[in-house]
Amino acid sequence: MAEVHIIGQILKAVDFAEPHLYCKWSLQSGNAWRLVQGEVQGQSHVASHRLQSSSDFAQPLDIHLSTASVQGWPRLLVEVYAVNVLQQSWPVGYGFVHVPSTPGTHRLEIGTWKVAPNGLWQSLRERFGGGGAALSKTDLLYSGVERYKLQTLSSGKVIVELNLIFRKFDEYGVEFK
Amino acid sequence: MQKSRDIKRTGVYRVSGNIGDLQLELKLRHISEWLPVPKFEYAGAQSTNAYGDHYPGSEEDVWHDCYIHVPQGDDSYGGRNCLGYNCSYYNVGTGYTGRRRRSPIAQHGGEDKEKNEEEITDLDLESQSNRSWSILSDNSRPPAGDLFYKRNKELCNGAIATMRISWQQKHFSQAELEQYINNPGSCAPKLQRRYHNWALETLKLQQRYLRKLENLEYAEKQQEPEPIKVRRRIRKPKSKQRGCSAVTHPTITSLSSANMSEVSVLDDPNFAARTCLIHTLLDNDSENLMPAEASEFHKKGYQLMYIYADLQQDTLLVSIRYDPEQGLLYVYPDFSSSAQDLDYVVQIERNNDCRQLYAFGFENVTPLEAYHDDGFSEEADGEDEQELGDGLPIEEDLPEDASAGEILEFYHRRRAAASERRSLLQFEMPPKRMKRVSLLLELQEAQNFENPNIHVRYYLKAPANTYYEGTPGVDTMQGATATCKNAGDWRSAHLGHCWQVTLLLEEQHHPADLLHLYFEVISIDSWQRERCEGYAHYAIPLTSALPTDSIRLQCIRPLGNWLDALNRYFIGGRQLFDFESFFDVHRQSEMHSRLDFNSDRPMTTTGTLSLRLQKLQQRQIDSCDQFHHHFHLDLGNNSSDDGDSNDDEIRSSSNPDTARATTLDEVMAAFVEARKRIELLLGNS
Repeated sequence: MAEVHIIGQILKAVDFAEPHLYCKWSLQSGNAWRLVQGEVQGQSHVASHRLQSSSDFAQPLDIHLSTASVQGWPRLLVEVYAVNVLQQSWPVGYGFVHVPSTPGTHRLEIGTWKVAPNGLWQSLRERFGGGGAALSKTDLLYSGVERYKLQTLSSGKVIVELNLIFRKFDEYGVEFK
Repeated sequence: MQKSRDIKRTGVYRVSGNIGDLQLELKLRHISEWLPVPKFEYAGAQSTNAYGDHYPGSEEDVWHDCYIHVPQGDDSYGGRNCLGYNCSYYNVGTGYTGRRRRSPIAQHGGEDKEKNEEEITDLDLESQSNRSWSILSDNSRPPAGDLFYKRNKELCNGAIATMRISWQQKHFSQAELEQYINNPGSCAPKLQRRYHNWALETLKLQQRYLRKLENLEYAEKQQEPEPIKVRRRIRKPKSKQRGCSAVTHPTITSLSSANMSEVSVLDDPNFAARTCLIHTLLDNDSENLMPAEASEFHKKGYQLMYIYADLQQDTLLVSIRYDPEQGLLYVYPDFSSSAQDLDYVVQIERNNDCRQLYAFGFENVTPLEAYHDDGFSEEADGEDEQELGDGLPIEEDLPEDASAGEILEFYHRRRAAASERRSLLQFEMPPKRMKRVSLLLELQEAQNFENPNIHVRYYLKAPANTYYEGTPGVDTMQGATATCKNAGDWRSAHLGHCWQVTLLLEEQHHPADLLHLYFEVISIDSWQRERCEGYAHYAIPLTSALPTDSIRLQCIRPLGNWLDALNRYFIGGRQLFDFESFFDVHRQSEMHSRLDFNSDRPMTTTGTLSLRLQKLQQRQIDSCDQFHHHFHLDLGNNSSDDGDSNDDEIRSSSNPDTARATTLDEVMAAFVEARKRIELLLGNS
């Protein structure tokens, strides 16, 4: 059984329109992957920056997975939520990215998108009434259904730094090139 | 007569995890035996009754039909010493037939014909007759049944044979044990060598056990020879250290009135594995050994497993088949709710032998997976009794006021559970002579397109001699991303679409055959007008390195004439554009040129797509191939920046070595197959 160590941090979110953000992250993988140690999901604190439009999370990731197959390579899913002064939160960015397939240090930029408001009423609600729409089932993101009917708006970016350690893959003839 | 306890039906289950996790626990027990129906044709019966057997005269005449007294020493005919049907009897045809020493239980079973599973309680009344009977049985132990009895002492004494069997786990029968004891030689396949090692280990186990038994018997012989009536109870093994005193021997059951030398004195709960009582037939084994239906099932693509018990005759207990396409598991007979119930009954009736009754039960003990939060088992079966505490617990929290010892224990347990989880699966290797390539693709952004509301459709075309390997129901060779609304002009649309494609490459696959990726960018505006925004194409060779950064793909779209432009503006609509042949270099009659004034096919550039590709390769690896492997790695690191790299010449120098290794492999495989076939033929003839 080969093992993968993912050690890193979710650094910050940039270019979002809303100032106060927090990030919910989770790691999705296929059937043949088992979690040995660590948390596969979590939520960061609320962060904002006074001068730039960025929020520093510095959320640590320390996950140890063991796998019996190359299928179902893990993916990191991030959901960025905004909080307003009335303590209401709504999602302002969904993004996901494959965990890189080469060991070493990687700096990933995850482009996110949010669900677009459908009409005037919904955009008013988004601005004043406590937030926009959210996806009711987030497995829409990583399942293979046709997604073009989903209207989205581009949002900001989430920057993640990962250090990957792979173990015992060469025993099974897996090469990362 | 006893009706079978449970109707045998086929259980159908949907497997939602890995079939390799399946484990079942099988329990088998000998319940009873009783005489066969008396036969009337054997000669040698001393029947003084002129009318044959229909009008029995005296009481002794009744029994004359059933057996013949064989005088042993000073035993006499008839009377109290005849002990009814418990004697050995002689049949002209086969000589002495099977007669097991089953005195208390058989008498029990004979007297009351209901089969009960409770432990036999001791009866002091039996002791006397027991003594003389046992003397009888000593000398007249028949050879054929004796072998079975000697091998399966515990089973015949009423113990329950317990066996835990995993999916496609091989267990030997006695015959197979003898077959695999012989050293297959150094050029046998790995499987044969593994079987040989297992057979040797099992044989060692058996021999060790026999030696222990002999030592015990020898020690007993030192003491008084007359049978001692002892009350058996299960004792702690430390009594063994007190020398072999006659009274204190640990035993399995409370067969108290039996002669000591007759009862197996060593407590061995795993005797089923040692005596090769239960054996399995797998897909690995030859199809000739399997039942007739097996070849049909194999043709349909099922995976099969048969569990047999090596009783007086080889009996099929359980047959399991798994359909990997549908993910369905068929189990006949169905799982019991608890193996201890021993629901299913097997009757063995052979000619001139006692009818034997065995009962068995089996249940599903697949260990639970704690991967999900709610900790439900991955096998979609209703009952999951954990017999031996093998199940993985849901993650427990450390109590706040735990002592140091408790903290240590807690982490020990967690580590043990984690290592168990790690060891549950075998790593999936690609099929023989195939290489597996897994691509991780990611469409990151789309920029500079004319209209907003765009989404991207992608199509992958695999090259020749490759197979697409994926989960059923999910097609990753084509798909669409989500629509991004604010994408026009200078703005970039974050698509963020990731997917993974796994392909199996055959040997004949040439590195120059490329995998083609086609992208089509479509915009749909608020009036539902669809317009094509651009087409892009990218081709990668599957065996060489890929660029590590994101690739920026330029999209182009056909312009058409002024009428088409008006159409596009007002009505929308996508023209059928055969982009596949457009991008296919081999099928074009002439070169495309951007400066083409030919108004047939003018194209214009639109926006760009940003794509990120990562690749994983998996080959069949052998330990002797290690240095070939390093060789590969060294050359692969200096990748070129363009995806269509032509490091074929570098690869070709390493090819001869691997080519030699694979042909050697093929030769070995062919030799082994031929050998197996010849062995089968010779075995059959």
